[in-house]
Amino acid sequence: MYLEMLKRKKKGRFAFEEFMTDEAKELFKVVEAKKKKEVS
Amino acid sequence: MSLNYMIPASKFKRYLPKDYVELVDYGPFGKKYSEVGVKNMGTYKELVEEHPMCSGCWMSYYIKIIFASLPNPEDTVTIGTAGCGRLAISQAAVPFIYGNYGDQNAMASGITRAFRLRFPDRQKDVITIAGDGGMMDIGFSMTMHAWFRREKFTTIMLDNEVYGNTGGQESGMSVEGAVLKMSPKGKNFGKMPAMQLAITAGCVYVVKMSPTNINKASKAIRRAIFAARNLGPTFIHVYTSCNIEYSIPTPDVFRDAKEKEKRSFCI
Repeated sequence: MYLEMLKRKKKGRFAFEEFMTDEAKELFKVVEAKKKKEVS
Repeated sequence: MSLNYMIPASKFKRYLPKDYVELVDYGPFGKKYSEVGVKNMGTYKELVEEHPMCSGCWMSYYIKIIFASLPNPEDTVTIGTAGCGRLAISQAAVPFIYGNYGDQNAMASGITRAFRLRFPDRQKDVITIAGDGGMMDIGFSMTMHAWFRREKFTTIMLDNEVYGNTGGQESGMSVEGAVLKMSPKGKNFGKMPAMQLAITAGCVYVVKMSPTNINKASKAIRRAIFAARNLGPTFIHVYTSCNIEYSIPTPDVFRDAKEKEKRSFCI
């Protein structure tokens, strides 16, 4: 899993490394959609 | 979520501690994140207003970001251990528990479970904030086992790459070859791969960063807290330089963080 993440990373850019599971990805989508709804 | 229970009745205000009333009137208590947060820092009463950290300390800057990013400061508990960080963390208007050296994640496991039993209808966030020594050296086993058990709380490691509070000994997170006051021959091995360890141990959200971008830093903290509430352990590994032990002049601290981000604070 970690190696996959490394492959995706652009060479020479180390500013921010983030790893999340698929479950976490889904959760953040829901949270951000909620936020957008509140703003609009 | 309603935060009305934090707001005191007007007639009782004068009997309450002044600081608490000010945090309700002018601070983040009972307010939405959009009204306070990192974007509005400097315009409201912050949770950490004073601290005894060194001049130009990058760690104290990041600690201010942590507290400004909390989604629910009224219902948050922080746990720390010996090290520079706890000097500022303990000054915040958020309950702080001081663990014996390195046992912050073991304590957080118990407190998280107790909160879920005692307050099943309320979301209580538990965050452990400790240095690289407390988290990856002396507290290593307790940190790892909390992750293996999938305890639902956030772990933040303030990595200054040295034991700054005790005179400058090398830590597991010091870079290879680092010459420090108490390790004059230089370190013989490289940084411990904290991020890989966290992923292997089962953390659902892991970030490694140097907090040069305030919004990005805040977003990572909030994401880690949200994921910890619902899914499992989360971990943030953050570079917070020690300008005293690494002899970084105060005006150059930000530049150092930028350089570190691009060069060596990576795999």
